[in-house]
Amino acid sequence: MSGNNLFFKKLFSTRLFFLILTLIFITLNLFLSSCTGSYMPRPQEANYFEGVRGLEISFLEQTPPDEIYENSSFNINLFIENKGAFDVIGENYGILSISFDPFYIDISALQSTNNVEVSKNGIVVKGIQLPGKSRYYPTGSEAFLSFPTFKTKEIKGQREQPSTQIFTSLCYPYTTTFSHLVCVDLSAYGEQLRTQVCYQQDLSLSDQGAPLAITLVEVENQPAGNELVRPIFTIQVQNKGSGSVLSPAYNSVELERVCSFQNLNREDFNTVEIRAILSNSKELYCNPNPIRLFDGQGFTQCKVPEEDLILGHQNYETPITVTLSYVYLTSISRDIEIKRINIHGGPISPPEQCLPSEIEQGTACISKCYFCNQNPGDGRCQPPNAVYHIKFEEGGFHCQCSDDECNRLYTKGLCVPFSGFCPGASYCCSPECKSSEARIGDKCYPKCSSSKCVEAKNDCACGTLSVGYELISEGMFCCPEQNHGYPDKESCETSCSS
Amino acid sequence: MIDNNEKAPVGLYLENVRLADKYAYEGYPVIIWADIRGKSFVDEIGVTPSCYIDKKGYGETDPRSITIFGEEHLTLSCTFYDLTKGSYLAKVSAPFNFETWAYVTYTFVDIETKRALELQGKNVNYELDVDHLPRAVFTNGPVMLGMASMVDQPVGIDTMYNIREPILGVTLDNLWTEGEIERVDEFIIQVPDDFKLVKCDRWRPDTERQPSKSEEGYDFYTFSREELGDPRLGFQSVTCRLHINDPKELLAGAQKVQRTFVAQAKYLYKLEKSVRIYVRE
Repeated sequence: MSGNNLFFKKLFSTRLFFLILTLIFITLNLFLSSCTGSYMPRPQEANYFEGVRGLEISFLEQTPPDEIYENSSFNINLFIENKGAFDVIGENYGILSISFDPFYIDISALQSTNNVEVSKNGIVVKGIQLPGKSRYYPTGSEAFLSFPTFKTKEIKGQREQPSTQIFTSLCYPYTTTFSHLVCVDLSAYGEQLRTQVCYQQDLSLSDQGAPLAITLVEVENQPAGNELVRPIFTIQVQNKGSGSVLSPAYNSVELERVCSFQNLNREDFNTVEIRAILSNSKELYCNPNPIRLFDGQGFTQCKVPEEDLILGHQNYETPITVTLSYVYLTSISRDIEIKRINIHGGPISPPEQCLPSEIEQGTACISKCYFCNQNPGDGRCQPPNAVYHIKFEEGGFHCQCSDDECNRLYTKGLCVPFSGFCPGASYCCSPECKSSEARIGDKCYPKCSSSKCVEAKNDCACGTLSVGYELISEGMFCCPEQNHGYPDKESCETSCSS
Repeated sequence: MIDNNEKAPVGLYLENVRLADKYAYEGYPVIIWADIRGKSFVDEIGVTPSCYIDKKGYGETDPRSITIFGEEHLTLSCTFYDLTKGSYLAKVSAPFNFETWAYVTYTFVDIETKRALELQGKNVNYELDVDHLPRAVFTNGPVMLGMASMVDQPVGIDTMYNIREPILGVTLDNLWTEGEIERVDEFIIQVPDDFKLVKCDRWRPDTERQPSKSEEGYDFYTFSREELGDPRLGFQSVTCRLHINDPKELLAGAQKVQRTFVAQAKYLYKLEKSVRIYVRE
């Protein structure tokens, strides 16, 4: 009996223990449920390989400013993000270029360094490094770049508010990676009675966390004889980002050449290198490779090489991994308006006593025309832009011609068709004498008779071209060889014959 | 496009040209009055008024010169002495020296960049934020100075053979209706020193000239009065080609390069009005 009691006691105490344990568990479970909801949170792996963004740049607000005065310094602050799934680090760095019109903007205060090249067009910054999206950078990484040394130049001429553009581009190597299960369908050699795990099916895709996306994988399993099958994948690639595709760069020298637009040829654009691997080990042969993009998209066909053809009877799924390598270029721009500091110019200069066309002589202002007429040998008299020599030495120059008349006389060196000799629209000229006239002083006079000692009927120019002319009065007798007049014929003839 | 300086549009008007007396008499001076109204921008406008009677000569003006700064309204007089009996046509003119500037910005890209964008089905102008035609701007004043705006942008540079030479043209035309360009004193095209101005139609038969001066990265090409011809004969232009000295150096690692070309004309502009004078005994 005592043995039975002991048994029951043990049984009771064991049951009680389990009952208490169950109650504690239920209570704890209820307690926890009341705090956190009806389920335990389970960690979920984010898919970083989605979206069509890579590296992106933007100007920070008011850097550069929308409006700025001439001769002022300003900052250019840039925000750069890697919103894609590929790391731009190490040898795969980005190259940033800021360009502008040197007529308006100056960065001479900035010195070139290892990673910063300064030219009069702008600056090139190498070594931009930003990891892509990952569990360590769930939203991608970002960086700020600040360039404080920009300066607007003084506005040349009379423009009030010119505008100019700051253009920034970011060039970087990038990779698109895609991995998915594809079906190796072996039904090409006969009807398969058993239900298969998979059947041949194309993959339609949208993006993979990079600006260049694989948008379609067409799967085909071609019979290759001897019950072997050759899987062929036709892969469509599309530029879904806002930038441009350059060619893949295999080293930093090549990257810098492409990104700095040096020695470019046609193959340096729209070119993508592709690598595809089936079942983690079979490197596929892709043709064409690299892919050339037309209208933003391109195709290639990747197939299993001869030595890796597949033998079997049952379909199976296996992973295909495709990697696209390229250099991507994205750009932004911003217009800035440069304002003139004083639109009404500087203070008015005190009025000059002489006009611009005058020369100060003593206390008086005389026209430069008159001055040159009096001083034909003066260095200031021949206009520097004149094609013809102005014959001030012949005399008779006054501000007396219109433009038409001046143009006609200019070719003979008898008028100055330029500013600075006469006021307003009058021109400094010496009217041409007729062939029957000779110039004496400022005027043209009729030539006296060319015969010796003929009485002058009016005031006339006595002389010849070789000896010059002298003005004689009416009634005098002219000896042309001596360019001299005599009061009577006899004295004239006596002097003239000797 | 005229520069956006509406705050102070340049203008000069000669108006209300009138005789002081209804009748003029021999032996007495004849006085003509005229009003000058104007607005300046940045630089003051210097006017040297004159009056002229054909075959009689110039009259005496007062003041001899007028400076317009900001907005001003002035009156001038012109006096002729010793006019004999008869009828005369007196011309009152307000010539002033003025300067007009024009600016045009060209954008240059590697021709392969341009083609590559087109091959991608992209619009190069949209992608690089470049207008299809360059925006030429000239400063306010009596003369229009237009710069070649029919050059498709961006201009593709052939870095390999450098055989492409884009056009740069400047046209000069009268803008105001009440006056005319009397003469062009100076006509300069300023070109960034990455370029050489060649094959100007006004230089024929020469194809190249040395710049008259170089300053702050710009070469100044001056055109003489003879090369330009007579501005009063109407529209005149200068059209040249731009030779790129070193295309690779010009691009200097940038996807696109902007360069501004400048034209500058200094000229005498003449406003003129007439008044008939009858001189009695």
